[in-house]
Amino acid sequence: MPDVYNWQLGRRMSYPFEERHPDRQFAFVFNINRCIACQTCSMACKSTWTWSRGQEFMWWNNVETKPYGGYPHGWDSKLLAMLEDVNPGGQTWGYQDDKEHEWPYGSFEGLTIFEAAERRRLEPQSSRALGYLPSEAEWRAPNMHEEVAHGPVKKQGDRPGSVELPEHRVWYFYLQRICNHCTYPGCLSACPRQAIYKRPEDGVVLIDQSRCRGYRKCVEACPYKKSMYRPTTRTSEKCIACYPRLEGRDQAAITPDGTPVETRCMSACVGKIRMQGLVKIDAEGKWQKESEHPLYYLIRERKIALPLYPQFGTEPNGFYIPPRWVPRKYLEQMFGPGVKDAIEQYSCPDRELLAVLQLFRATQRVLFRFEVEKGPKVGEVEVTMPDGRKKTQVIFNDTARGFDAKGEEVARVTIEEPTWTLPAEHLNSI
Amino acid sequence: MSEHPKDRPAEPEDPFKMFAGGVEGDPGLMLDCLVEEYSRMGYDADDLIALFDNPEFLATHGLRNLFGPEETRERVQAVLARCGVLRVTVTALPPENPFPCHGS
Repeated sequence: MPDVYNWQLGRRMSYPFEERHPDRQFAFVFNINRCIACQTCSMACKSTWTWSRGQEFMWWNNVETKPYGGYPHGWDSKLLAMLEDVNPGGQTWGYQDDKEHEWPYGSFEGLTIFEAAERRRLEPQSSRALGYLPSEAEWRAPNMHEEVAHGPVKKQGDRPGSVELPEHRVWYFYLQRICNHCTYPGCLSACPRQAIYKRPEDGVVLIDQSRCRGYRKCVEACPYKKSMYRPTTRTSEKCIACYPRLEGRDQAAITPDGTPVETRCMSACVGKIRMQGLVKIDAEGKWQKESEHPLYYLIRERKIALPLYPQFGTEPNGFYIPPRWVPRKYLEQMFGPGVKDAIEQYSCPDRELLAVLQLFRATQRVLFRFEVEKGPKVGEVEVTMPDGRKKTQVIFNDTARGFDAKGEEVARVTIEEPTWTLPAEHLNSI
Repeated sequence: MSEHPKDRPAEPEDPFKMFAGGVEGDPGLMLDCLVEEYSRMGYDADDLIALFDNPEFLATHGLRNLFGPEETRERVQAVLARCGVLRVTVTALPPENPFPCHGS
């Protein structure tokens, strides 16, 4: 297999095809800290793209509860176990602080899904990535039993013969998932028909429906299980990054001038957790330095948004701001060793980071640049740090401005001031 | 008399069985963090309590069921007393029509 460079692992790795990169890459940041599991994104996607016969169990966007759930059931724990089986005890991260190397999170010393397939000498040759084909049952009933701590509490005896079900008294968080439009897609590597391709203009990964014969090798090879089989057409389908909106060609969208608009799942988000963008890629596959691009700033400069399971080796282009309340070991397995630093920065954001975070979902247009206009200090607040201690955060009257592909200002968010409401018993105390 | 469903062993192909286990953590910290997040976006106590009361929002409503409505309200108010509510002004330029299919 040829050698390709994976910047998330900070090293070269095996991949079935030669390295080739798009001019820009579709990428996104999901802020897990804000998700309240309303599933509006899932329904926005479903009602747009997967409402037809044969797509009943097909959720290009899904939100699953961790640590209990997954769609399909157990997708990540199964693949992690398979990798551990191929390389027992070796799936570890090494050095983190080494200025001589370019690894952003640390050096990954284990095997990617492509390297594990090589070591195991998988047959047939189309099995170029370690993976598995989920059963039909595993695709069914997403979110079922993921957490039961919701809805009206029913007690034993509320209805004849009823029993009281246990509720989790432990933490959980929600993981929002769409196709990661990976730089080195597992699905693309495995397709025996070469029906899967990555668009040179935006890096979106698509399945050519006229070439697909439904062999399901992509379903097997995608480590995130975001390629799905449709029995009525006998082809596989996947998230298309709402490319008509990305191209500014969606007539129902808000930009008749053709500037890119966010995908359906992003623009419907109630909790304002999502931001997408198109980042510039150079010929070597590295992100071109764009400090004023909100995604470059969050992902490459501040490193507060991290890739999901970077150790799989596909270089996913979806990034997550990890939740502050979750035990670190669990998060490190999921997002790599950059978790500690990301959460530390995010818990008490400085003025520039706070301003950029306010731009999430301020507009439906895709942002290409931001500016922060600095204002005077307006107050101090106390925030919770990852270890539970409190820290003082200084608030400034700053304004974050967002600009679209044509350089037009399309969003402006001003932080006015922190305010406090007096408790009722003190209302007349002045 | 047939076996009660709850006593039957899980069937291997049962799609409803649990796959992953719980891990110890602190739901109180989760509640504090969620309140801080939304207060940064300008949500005040009433807005936040509405999030916790609404069963459609599983994360917040799950915490309300765990702590009970009274303790949840007290916890929300305690966090807001500490970190306040960040007043922000969001302006889309030009103003966006959220329903473009239905005219301007």
